[in-house]
Amino acid sequence: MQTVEISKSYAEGVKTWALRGVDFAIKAGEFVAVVGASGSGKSTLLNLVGALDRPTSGRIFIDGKDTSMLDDASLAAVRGDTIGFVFQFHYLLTEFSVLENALMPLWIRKSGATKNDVAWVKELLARVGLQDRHNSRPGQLSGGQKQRAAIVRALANHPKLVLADEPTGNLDSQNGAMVFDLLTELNKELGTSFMLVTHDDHLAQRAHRIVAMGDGQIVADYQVDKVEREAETDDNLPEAV
Amino acid sequence: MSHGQTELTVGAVAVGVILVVFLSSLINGLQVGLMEDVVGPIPHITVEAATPEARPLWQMEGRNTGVVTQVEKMSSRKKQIEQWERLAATITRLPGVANVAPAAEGDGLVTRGAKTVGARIIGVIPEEQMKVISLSHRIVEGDFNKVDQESAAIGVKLANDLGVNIGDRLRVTSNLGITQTFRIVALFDMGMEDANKSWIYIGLSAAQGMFGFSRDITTFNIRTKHLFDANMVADQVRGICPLTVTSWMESNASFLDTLRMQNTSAVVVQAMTLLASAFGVASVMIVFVVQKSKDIGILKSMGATATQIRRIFILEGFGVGLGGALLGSGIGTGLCYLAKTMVVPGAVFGGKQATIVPMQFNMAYVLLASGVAIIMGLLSSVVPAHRAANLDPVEAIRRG
Repeated sequence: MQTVEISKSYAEGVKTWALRGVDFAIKAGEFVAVVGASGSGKSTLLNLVGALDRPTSGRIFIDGKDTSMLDDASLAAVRGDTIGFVFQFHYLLTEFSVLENALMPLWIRKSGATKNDVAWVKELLARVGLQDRHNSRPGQLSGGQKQRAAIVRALANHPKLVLADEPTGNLDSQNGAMVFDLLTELNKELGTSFMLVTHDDHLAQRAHRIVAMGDGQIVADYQVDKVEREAETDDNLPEAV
Repeated sequence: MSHGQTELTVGAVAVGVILVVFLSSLINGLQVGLMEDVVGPIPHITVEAATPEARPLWQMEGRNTGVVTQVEKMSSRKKQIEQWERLAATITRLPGVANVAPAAEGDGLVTRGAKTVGARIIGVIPEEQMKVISLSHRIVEGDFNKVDQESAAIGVKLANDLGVNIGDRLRVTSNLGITQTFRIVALFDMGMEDANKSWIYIGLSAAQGMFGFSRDITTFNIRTKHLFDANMVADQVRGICPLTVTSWMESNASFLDTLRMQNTSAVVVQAMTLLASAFGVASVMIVFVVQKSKDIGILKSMGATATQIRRIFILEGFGVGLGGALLGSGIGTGLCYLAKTMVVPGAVFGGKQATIVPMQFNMAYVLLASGVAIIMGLLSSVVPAHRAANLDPVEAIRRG
């Protein structure tokens, strides 16, 4: 995944630039935390990287494909096949069960889930501790459980990259830390790249790499020492519910 | 759609379908009843010998001067059609014609004791006459088939005026002064005052004798295969004989205009109802799209294409249309059946129990209304589906 000189402007009355010529790349298996003040362009960058939005100028390559060359349907296909999203709110579909929600990306992309797909999703649900909640409705789950179900949904299609916009922002610190741990563990276990927007510097320190945004530009981009990272992990919080 | 919304939209469609089914059956029932009343007792086409018109001499060609005469109306004595059997055979062969019946008509008097009333004497072959006008359920008493040389059928009003009943005898005098006695074998109620108080049916040969026609007749009564082809068939008859041909549509033009207006207003009411239902469905679905915009954004983030999103809403519209069609057809049919079985207590006309509403239920209305409802459901989902499909996922998720 790579961006070349991407810019994004919003023209609502006065033309404002959310991003100004950002060059950015993420390697396979990397865990990147994007930090910065609100309005610094973090979420805009995430939406562009996830092909949810198109840049005003510049080009984005996903899995080697130039997304500016793709029509909307192909862009949707790229999104469905290579990217998973986790939002600040779980955004599970309330009319469907946990298992159905997690299978949704497969239904959309392949118009049906195979036995293998179902087994994989069930395995993921077990991995995040939701093996007993397959048939529960989102309304019956706690905040942390909902977010974990949303993570399973993001991973159901074997994406190469998971984009998470403040995934712990709506959780208490215990649940937040647990969800964050889960993301880092899944990154390690599955080799999926993660790009996560957070305003929690403490949590950001546990990523491989931190990208700091300010005023629509990248102001800092550095690797986190392994030692530093583990130090952060050590004062881990007790097991959350 | 959420609970409540689905029921609401399906209900809106169903109401439209119910109205169409019920109103169509009602209007059709009313019209069938009206048509039966108006057209039933008269032939679809009558063919009469052209009555020669008296013209003043000075109008005659080649005469500039002459005697100015007063124009007097011809007597009501009808001109005859000679050698009618051959013409009858020719007319019967016309493609639109179902039956042809001969009649010899004229004016006369009916006497019973000291009472004498004017009458229209119609000589017919009963079995032929019954094929050209719907008589069977208009016979209140007796048997029309028994009408012959010595037997007559008279209207209920005439029977009442003269104080006679089945089996009684009447003296009938033609305008030629020939008198003959007939036994009453049938009483009819044509639904027309004039017919009920002055028509008297006798055998064809008896009438021919009384009016001095020998073997001739005055009128052909024709039944067409299709009621509304009468004008066309009348034109064909005009083409093969130089007689005066009149279709029921020509003699009842204003009645037909009324029917057409009634039809038009019914169609307008039905179309408006369906349109209102469609707007109802569309607006509920637009609200639904707004409510679900967050979910739509999420589905898009998972790779759902605009086409897939559009399909969901179109299917929803189809489902609403289908559901409304089924529900509406069921209830509409049920209501029609109910209305049909509602009767006026004790009111029996012509051996039939009178119903409050003359429903004429037709499966075609149900199918038509259902078809329209399904198309309507699809159409009313087009705008909401388009909106949903074109939602910007970033906006949808952020605002949702």
